[in-house]
Amino acid sequence: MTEYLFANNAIGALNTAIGTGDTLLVLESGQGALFPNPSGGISAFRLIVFESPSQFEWMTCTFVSGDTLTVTRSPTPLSFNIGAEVHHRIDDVALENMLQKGIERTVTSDPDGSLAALYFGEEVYQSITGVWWKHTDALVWKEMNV
Amino acid sequence: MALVFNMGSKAILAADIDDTDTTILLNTYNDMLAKGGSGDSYYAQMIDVQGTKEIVLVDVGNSDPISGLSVTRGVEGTAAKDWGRGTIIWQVMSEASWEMIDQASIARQFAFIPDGVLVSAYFGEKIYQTDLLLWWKSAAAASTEWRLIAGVILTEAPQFSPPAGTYANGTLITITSATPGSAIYYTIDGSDPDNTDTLYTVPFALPDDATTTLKAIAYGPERWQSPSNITSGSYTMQVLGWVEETASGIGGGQPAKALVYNSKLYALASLGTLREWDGVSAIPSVAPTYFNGVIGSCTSYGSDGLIVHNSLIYGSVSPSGSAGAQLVEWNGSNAWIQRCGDLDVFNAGGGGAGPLILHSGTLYLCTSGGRIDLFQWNGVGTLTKVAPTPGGPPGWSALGGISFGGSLYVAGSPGNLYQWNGVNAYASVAPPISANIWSLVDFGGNLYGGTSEGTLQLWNGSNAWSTVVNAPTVASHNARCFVRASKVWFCSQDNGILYSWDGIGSAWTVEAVQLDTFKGRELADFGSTVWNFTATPDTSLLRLQ
Repeated sequence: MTEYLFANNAIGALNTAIGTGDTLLVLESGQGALFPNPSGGISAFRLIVFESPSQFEWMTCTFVSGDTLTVTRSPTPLSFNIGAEVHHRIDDVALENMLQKGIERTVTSDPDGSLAALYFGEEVYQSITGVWWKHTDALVWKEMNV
Repeated sequence: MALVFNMGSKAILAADIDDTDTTILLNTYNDMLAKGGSGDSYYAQMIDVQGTKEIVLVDVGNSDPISGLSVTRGVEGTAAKDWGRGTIIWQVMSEASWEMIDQASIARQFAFIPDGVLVSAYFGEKIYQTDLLLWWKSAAAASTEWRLIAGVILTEAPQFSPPAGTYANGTLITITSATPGSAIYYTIDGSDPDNTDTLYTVPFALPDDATTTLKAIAYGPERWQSPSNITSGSYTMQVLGWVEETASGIGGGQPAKALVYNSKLYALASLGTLREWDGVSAIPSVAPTYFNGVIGSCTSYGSDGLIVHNSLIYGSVSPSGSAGAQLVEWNGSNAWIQRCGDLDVFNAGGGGAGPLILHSGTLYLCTSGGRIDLFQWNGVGTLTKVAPTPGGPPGWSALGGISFGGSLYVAGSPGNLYQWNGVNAYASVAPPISANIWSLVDFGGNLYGGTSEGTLQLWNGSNAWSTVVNAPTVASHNARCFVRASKVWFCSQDNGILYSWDGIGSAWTVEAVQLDTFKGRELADFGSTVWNFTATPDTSLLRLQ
């Protein structure tokens, strides 16, 4: 599960135009410091590049170096001109990545060795035995108390 | 309920709705709102030109935009109202949406075990128990079912009674755990027990003449209780022997009765001397021979009474040169206090000191040595005779008395058993037998009598004795029995052999053999073993080990 990072007032503009295959966003000087700083490949933040009401694209930024942002493009990438606005925002991807109360999965059989986790560290409740399990690796689950 | 998101998305109502409608139609749904499955929902908002808004909760899983979205109207503090076709509706992060997010380090805390008590806020809620440093997680929404997920509550470890050590063959071992309702499992082969081993149900005996490692583990009845630590003990079972604790022949007459009082051992010698044993020092005399030594020998030889009543020790003794009986109270330090007059005046034809019996909270004295008159003492003044000696053969002696099953009984020579009617007379409930009854004991809810022949008699509850334990093969008379550790015990006055009977079979079990020339007399249960105030030499004290 990716940890999404947040920062207030993280807004910039493209200093270089991008095409549909580009994965680097070069911002105007000094603007890179306004954005969160993902690290280790486990954190990221969401941003939207906006040029007009019909010309925008949601992306995930995984690395910031100076004013250059490394991004993962959306399934339907667009091209943007110099000056296109880059806004860090909370969207459905970030929100759905958060744990919501009371929606954990319930299983009936022993999950260890068979159940695929939705994310690392997921906790599931085995109703037959009344045991909580925590995902630790691949299909490996450990009882949370024995 | 899980929330799904498509932030900023919007759509337009395709038809008017009034404030009671629970289904809405959209005319542009492809751009609209989040998608999801069963149990998924989102909050959406409509607002009019006056700024009045209504928030609805859209049930994604149970509807679709084409046939109509199922909605809960007027939530989040807003009111349902009429809306016209063309109204814009868009998804919002409402207050409830944010509150459904599991925020780090926000958990309720309590100082008690929540399982069965605390109602969960939601399925999977985690709470912290501050007093035992435990984490719990709920097993259902709005439920009191909680599962321990971090930390351990151990079931209390088993306790052995008696503790590990050396004991007589057949000694019963009791295992308990301080955790109520726990199940205890044990092994005797040295292996660590678990819940597949022998379940403890009743006290049991370990193998005779062997050293055994007993291990036990307790499982608590609650799912959150972890098995206890394992308790282990080494037991050596053998035929035990007597150890002499005091100098031989301390004098004062043969012991008449023994008891434990305030964690010390006491014995009344036949000359009226009260002996005290504190478990350490040699036996002193804590109450002088009655009447400063002029008591002489008792006519009721060996049948005097000693009992604890109202936290005081009372004795029954016979003054020197008289056949009468006296009730005396120990002053707690060094002397007897006379509590009544000489009963000889009531006992034409004789009658010395006999058993003391506590019955329904009142103290009774039964004479012996010629008569078995029953006297009642109400705590003040003199004694009141409540039952005269019944007609019968001469030479009555009351050697044993007991309160049993709500009635008072006395027995003795020549083996009769009498039941007091509670008012003014005895009733004969067992005729004489060939032996004298030396003692009466309540064992397993039945009344037994130990005899001068060394047999154990069972009273049938109405009119007769029957022999249930035969006399030992070695002559061992005068069974002055007592009950300890689910057995009846006596020590031979002929040879000092200690016997027991566990209620099974018809033979005594030898628990200890004779030490030198010591002979048995009064037994007491003190310090987790058996003590023997000997008959010969006079009042020596032997300890079983």
